Amino acid sequence: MGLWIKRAAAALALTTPLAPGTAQAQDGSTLLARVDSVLTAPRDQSAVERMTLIDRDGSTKERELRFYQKGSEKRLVRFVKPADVRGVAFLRLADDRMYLYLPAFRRVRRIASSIKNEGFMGTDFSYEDLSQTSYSEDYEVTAVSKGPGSYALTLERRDGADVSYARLVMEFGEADWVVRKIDYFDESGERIKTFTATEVRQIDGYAYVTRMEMVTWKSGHRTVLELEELRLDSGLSDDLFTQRSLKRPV
Amino acid sequence: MNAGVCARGRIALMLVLVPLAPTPGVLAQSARVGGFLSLDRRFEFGGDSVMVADFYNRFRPELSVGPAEDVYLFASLDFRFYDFPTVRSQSDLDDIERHSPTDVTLWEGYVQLWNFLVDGLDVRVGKQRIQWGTADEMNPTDRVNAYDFSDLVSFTARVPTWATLAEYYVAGLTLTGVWSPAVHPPIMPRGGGAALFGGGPPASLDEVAITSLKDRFELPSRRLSNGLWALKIAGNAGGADYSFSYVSGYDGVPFLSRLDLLATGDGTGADGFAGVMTLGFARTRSLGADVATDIRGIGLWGEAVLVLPEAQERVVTTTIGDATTLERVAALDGASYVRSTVGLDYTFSGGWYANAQWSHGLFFERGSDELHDYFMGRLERSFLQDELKVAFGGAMEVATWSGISDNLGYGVFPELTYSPADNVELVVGAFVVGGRGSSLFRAWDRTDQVYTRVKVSF
Repeated sequence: MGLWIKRAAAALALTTPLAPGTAQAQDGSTLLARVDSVLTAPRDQSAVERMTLIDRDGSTKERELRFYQKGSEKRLVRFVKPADVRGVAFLRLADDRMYLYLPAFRRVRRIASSIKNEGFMGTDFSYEDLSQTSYSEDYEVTAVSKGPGSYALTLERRDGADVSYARLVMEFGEADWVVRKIDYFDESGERIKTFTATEVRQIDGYAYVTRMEMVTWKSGHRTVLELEELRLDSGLSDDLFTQRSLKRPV
Repeated sequence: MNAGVCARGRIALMLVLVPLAPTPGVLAQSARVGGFLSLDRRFEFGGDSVMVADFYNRFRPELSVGPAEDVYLFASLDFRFYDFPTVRSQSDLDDIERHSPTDVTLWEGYVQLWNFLVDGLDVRVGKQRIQWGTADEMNPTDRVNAYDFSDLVSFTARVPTWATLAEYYVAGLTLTGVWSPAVHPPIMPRGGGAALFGGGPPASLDEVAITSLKDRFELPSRRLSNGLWALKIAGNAGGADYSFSYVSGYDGVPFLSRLDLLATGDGTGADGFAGVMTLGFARTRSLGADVATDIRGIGLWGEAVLVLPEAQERVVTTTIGDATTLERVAALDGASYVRSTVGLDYTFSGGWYANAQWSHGLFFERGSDELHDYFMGRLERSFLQDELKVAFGGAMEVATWSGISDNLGYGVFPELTYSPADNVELVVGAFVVGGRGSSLFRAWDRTDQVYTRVKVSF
């Protein structure tokens, strides 16, 4: 799934060419555009991912899912574990068209896009987190700082942007443009969540986040997402991202 | 039959089947077992005292096999077992079925073939649940799947039916065809609920003293022409999902097609009559349309169906002594009518999910004058990373708009769901309905209940 995760998962989708150029002389907007460009660098991605949901007291729950993405707008997620959600599938198409398949009822249901601010299936990632593929569209850079081997950008929500966070503070590597951390803030300036890429590996010529974590500060709840299998640029068909495909069993 | 034709037929059949025939090893590798166990307790308080309902627990093992890329087999059994014994005499004590009553049925059992013969054609054959309509649960266009009223708390549920389903995906459209060979009546609550049919003697016989009343079903014969046929075309335009459908089948709720009255006692009628009702199923055709979309984050949907029933007559015979009179009256007038649903939903920041619907006509209601209006709403909120979910449901029924205050119905449906661990669900809720006059919910008011459920999936 890491791949499809937009925002926080920028990291997942956070892929980058092997030979990045220097970022030092570039302004904030250019830097952010470069970060955006590596989010969807592979033409398509398919992955098996394991999610671990961790309570404040340390108790855990496991999720396993299969994730498919093509371009920046087509995403399909199928739940494999646990048993009570096995076969549940989520499809997102352009213009926020979203569908949920409920195997118990053999039913595909159109779901309203207002759900995107909510947590996805009990995780700390929201639908929006898992869908963000372009930060430049929704945020403008208001501050840039340079650290050893990395940049930090402060992003403010653009007027009229349909996103739930008022401000982000994003850190990414100077060498690979992979997002290492994002702090999410609400209108009152309170930090709500933090995304951290805890493992980045080179896969098929892309720098790829293979382990990431999202923390919700109010509840102390964390979700760890680990990549188990990955295929990039395998030529996924458009037919995979249809209601017909949604109904196929896991 | 010509032997050559026969042989060609067998070869053709083998050409179709052989590529699908898996080796045992492949089957074993792809087989998967799942399902759930659901334990229910129902405390009914609609009468004079709180009763523990004889409600079913459910064990649902499921087996799925994918022996080849485009082949899938699925079967599930529905074991219902009850808490109360049905022993009535000493001799019943050696009958385990009376000691621990159970019902078992094949819930679903089908074969799914993708890209069957041509790319884009999917075929599913067997007992299955078919999606029909895009509205949220209330689907007036769905005249394909029978109702499942075995649990009134889930009164929008449907039963899988034996059918052949073909879906062809072409040029962004989905063309669907369904054939089902038989009429499938609804499943009713155990130990009662037949009155929900509205299948009692007609009002014109109110003054007749009926001392006993039996009923029997008369299902349509198994002629090919008596099956259900349905067609649908679905697509997306301007971001809205739509479909148009046609269904030729039977009204799933029976009507009183014959009533035989026999004078009892002294045979003059003064002591009343014994009655036998025959319930039949009316042939209907229907044209449906539905749409679902999203406008500024608000989910919107609508469905409407034009029902074109065939006129049906009722035969009433009255036997007094040796004399029998026969009367033919109109049971269903054959006039067309429209049932519809409109709804919306929205998730507010903060996590509250709201859902509202209006339905014109439900379940057993047929004929323009019989359709009630139902306004339903639901508010939900999850806490603790979806471990705890609180839901408040409500409904208001307007049986008739004239004299509305005397013909109102209501329903309140709060529910609390707690998932302490993966695959485990604990539910407590209430189902409280009531009403006045001719409202449907008035007929259900003895079913008021608090329910608890433990469900474990595997």
